[in-house]
Amino acid sequence: MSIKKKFAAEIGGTFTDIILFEDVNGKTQLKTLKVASTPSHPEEAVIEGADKLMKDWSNTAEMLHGSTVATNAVLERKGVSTALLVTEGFADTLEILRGDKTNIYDLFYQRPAPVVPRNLVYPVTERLSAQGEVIIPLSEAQIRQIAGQLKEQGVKSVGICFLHSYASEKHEKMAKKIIEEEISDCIVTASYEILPQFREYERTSTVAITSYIAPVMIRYIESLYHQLQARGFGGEIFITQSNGGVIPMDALRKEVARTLLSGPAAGVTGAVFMAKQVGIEDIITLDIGGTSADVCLINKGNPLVSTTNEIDGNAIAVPMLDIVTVGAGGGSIAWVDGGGMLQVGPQSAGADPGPACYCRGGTKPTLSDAMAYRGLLRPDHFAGGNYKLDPQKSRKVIGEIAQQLGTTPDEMAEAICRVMEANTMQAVRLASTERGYDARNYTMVAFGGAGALMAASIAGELGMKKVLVPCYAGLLSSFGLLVADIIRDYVQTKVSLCVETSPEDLKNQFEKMQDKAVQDMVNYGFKRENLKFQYAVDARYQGQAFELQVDFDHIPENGEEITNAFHEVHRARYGFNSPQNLVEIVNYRLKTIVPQDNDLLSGMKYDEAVDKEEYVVQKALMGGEWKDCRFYTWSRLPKDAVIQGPAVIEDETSTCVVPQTWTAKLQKNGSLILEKEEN
Amino acid sequence: MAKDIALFNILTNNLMSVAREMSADFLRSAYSVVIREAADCSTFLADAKGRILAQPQDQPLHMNSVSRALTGALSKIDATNLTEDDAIILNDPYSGGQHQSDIYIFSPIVHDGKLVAFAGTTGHHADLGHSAGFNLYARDIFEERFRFCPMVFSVSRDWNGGILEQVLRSNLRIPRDTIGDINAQLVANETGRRRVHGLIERYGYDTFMEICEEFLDYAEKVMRAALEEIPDGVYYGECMADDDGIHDEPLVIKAKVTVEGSEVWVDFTGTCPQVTTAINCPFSSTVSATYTMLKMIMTDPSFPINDGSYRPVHIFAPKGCLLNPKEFAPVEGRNVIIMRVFQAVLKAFEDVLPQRVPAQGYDQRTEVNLQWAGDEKEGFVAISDQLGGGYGASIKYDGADQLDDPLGNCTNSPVESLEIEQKYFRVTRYDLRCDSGGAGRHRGGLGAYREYEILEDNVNMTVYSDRFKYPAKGVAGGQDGTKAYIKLYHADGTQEDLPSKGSRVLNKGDRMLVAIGGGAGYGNPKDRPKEEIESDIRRKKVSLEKARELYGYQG
Repeated sequence: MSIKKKFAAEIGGTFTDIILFEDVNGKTQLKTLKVASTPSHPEEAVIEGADKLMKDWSNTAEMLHGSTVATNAVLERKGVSTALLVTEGFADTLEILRGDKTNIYDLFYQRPAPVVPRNLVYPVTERLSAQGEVIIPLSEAQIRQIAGQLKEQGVKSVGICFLHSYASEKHEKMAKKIIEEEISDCIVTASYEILPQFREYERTSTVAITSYIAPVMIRYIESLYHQLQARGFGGEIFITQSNGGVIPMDALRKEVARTLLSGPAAGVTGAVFMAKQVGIEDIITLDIGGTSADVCLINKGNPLVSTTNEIDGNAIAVPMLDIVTVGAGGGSIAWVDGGGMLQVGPQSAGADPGPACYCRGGTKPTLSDAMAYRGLLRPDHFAGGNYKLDPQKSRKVIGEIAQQLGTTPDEMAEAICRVMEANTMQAVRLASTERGYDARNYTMVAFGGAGALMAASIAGELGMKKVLVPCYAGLLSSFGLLVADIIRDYVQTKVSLCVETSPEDLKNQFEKMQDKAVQDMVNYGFKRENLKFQYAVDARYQGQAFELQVDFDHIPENGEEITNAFHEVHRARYGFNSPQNLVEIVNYRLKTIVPQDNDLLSGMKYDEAVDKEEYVVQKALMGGEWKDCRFYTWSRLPKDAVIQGPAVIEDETSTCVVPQTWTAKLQKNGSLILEKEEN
Repeated sequence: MAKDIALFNILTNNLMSVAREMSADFLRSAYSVVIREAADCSTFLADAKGRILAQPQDQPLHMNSVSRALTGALSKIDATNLTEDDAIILNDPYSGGQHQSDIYIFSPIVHDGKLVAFAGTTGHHADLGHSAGFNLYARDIFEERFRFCPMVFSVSRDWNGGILEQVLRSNLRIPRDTIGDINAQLVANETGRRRVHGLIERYGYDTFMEICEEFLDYAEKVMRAALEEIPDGVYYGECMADDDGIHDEPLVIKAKVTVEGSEVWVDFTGTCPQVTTAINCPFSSTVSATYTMLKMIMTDPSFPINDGSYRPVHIFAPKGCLLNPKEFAPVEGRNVIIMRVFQAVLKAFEDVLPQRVPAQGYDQRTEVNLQWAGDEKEGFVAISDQLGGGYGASIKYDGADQLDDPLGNCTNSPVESLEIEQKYFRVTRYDLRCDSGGAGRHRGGLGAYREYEILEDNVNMTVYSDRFKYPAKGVAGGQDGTKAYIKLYHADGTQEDLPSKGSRVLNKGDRMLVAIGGGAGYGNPKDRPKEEIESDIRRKKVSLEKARELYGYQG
């Protein structure tokens, strides 16, 4: 398969980004386009943008699609009318959740609305034990009767989640079959198919969300696909997932929950790819946009993964990249709280009205205003000069808040940046130190519109010595879509002590999952020989509740191997372990990967024609002083350029600040590496 | 105010994040179900004088008496030569603790030979020797649990196989859980200590100490500003619990609240005397319930609370009353009383702060303990379920359904986890109780049903709960919430009502249904819009019959 062209679409609330990669005479070219989004029919903007960018569709092998459509369907509760079948006695699992509140001092706490309303939850007479034995048999007649009611109400999507179905699929399978018989064009999602994993609320919620949005996504993607086909597109559409990979559109029905919240994950995938190009594998990503900062830690190219996730207060228990998010971005608003403390965020001025300097009516001081005040964001060069800033407005709002706290505007501008950096640092600490990894051993990869503005300061404060700023830093999320591998995760709950688990048990358990994976992937059109597998178990000390994931690149030989590996993982995470305690396996995990051929991208380079260093000198406020600072244009940097801080390197999509005592070096692939000088 | 305005934010946020990190570490390395699944535990940082500085999203009841516990401990021990190998352990209700199940462990943080702060944790230890579960008839605290008056021990010498661990271990039914949980407390404290050292190293000892002090002043300032807004005056509130578990009379709690300028005095004189059963409310619990309530209505939920917030608050309860019992009255079930304390004080503000005072919730922790001696393979097994109830409606909102009471924030244990864990019972029902929320313009939150099916003989069940007789009271024309009950169904078809507090031996085939009560309504139910009533009917929160009867629904 020789790929010549790939394109990606990421649909945002205001704009839809289209990105095209082409191989022209051995050199990779990237074209981007922003078009206004069309929220009621998102595909229209995609088609419009693609038509503008591409004339010839014949060599386009793939389209990569972001997940905003699915995520918004949940956030805005715009899924389909969905019914849910649950074990009798547990009809309110989605209403009760886990029975706690998100803020302990909130007397007026309100729960998020469940995606399936209570009137469409059907309690079914049946019961399994934790071992999967039938305690109360399922009544076929009852299911047929419920199906009759659903048919009458025109329900076309049904989720099924019975207690302990991870231990036996028997009842769910029967119920699914009956409903499919009774309602011909109904999509039925049973929990054993998508998440055979214990803890009923989390599993039920995942099934409900899947059933609620899968039909919306399938309808949408099919419509888009037909329109692309009509233009001669002969390739396949892939959807991004929150685990950093992509899945083919045929897999959406069962896997749609895995595509939710995938925006930040695509950025991580892009960062991993760009870092690999310059030979770096242990990284911490820092993605700062207008409203939030996302941080993820990557070991040897493998991002950390979390299985306790939620969307809008509803659990989705599928593996997602373990991304820590804080409300800290370019639009974060600075304010003084009731006790007289300076705060920055989590409220953001967003894009509209945006920071005061955007001249769109914003009247509150934001991080961008502080940066404009300090002279680091230049009015005529922000976003390649396409977006004029008015620093006068920033000076006004910064002056006002300075007066409120009885300080000077200079001090206030820097204080806002420092508070913001500190907020971001908390996220980095959470993602690294708190997960048992020493941030100092990692390279920070900074991207997003505002990532490179602050990355070196933050890294320096955390004792990190190196920062990579990839080219296309402002577009890295969309870029990540184009380089993602196809990844499919499987899980199975089966509880047993390591000492009581035989090598045959282990082998059988993993091989059963592997057979299913192969079958699924072959159905999607992939070849058996192209599949790669990674194995893991969730294990815990017998008697503990929280599992730790233990990874293997092979099927573990025996319980002892798992026990030993678990002790190590526990020590790394918590700083201690208890070798005298028994280790218990809880879940088996299998990750199936179809690696993508990204040769297309190896031709990315800096511009060799440039050989002269060009810059202008302007004053910028750094460390309490207005210092002479050199301003460079990224695309006009000569090869092998070594830039001494204080300096600022400007690009159309982001601005990179090189503080004093740091240097920046241009890399072969066009990225920058910033390093702190040794004292 | 410090000269560096950014630093105040940065350091105080770091203190808060240290407390959060400690909490995450505690939960993830704990063993007992009540801590690891229900999260009945808390972490915090306190200064060298014993004043709490920073607390995470844990259990308010635990955290707002930390200052009392630690200052109490510091007044009884010699703190001058504390080292980082030392730890202070305390659970004595008469030395600043609450009930003995909650063990406080404070680890000193020493910098350059100077005591700078304490990293601390408290966890609910379901097995701590003596009575298993809840013993309503305990005559004093010595019958309830193992007691630790504040004492300093050396972690290296006395724990990890040392004398303290050995003594404790030999008094436990499930040593793995309790010893494991105490280890988890020490792990969390170590996290706090490591982080505080990092902060001192980064920002300097003087700055650190200065900002801690300033953080307390800051919280005080906000609390005072909120109190200033309340008209000076004397306000009265009252609430009552059903009974002491033996006698029929209600237990009445009276609060006289005097607001003057930026200070408030809460006086519980007139409250009923202490009782002979194990539901007395030690003074630390009374104080914590009061502080928590004031925090909730005075400042924004996201605003931090620390010892500074308590400065303008003065609390008094006469010795010998239910809220300040004499040594050594039993207190294990003090949860029966704490929310009544909370409600009595809240009630006082009902007229003066209508926007911020909701109607009463069911607001009662129901603790169900099930213990089984086990078989040859398993040994003794115990499960403790912590159940909340419906919240009260307010001027703007319906009450939330089935939540832990406002003084706690325990989560419910997943039924699948419970059943993987043991084989002597199953949970056969956990769903909302239709019609249990008090009718009103805004409806009270619903309670839930939780039913246990017993699978072995001789399962020991202990329980405490309340509001079986007196429901949550409605406000402004809103109706009362529904009361709670427990029913026991025997295999032979007979059934009986169980009291709200006590114990019972259950046998194979028994089913025990716990019906949790709902919150009260706010405003006249006839004013509830039709769409909301119909939505309630559809979602099975209100039956059609009750909608007609209580809301005047026509349709």
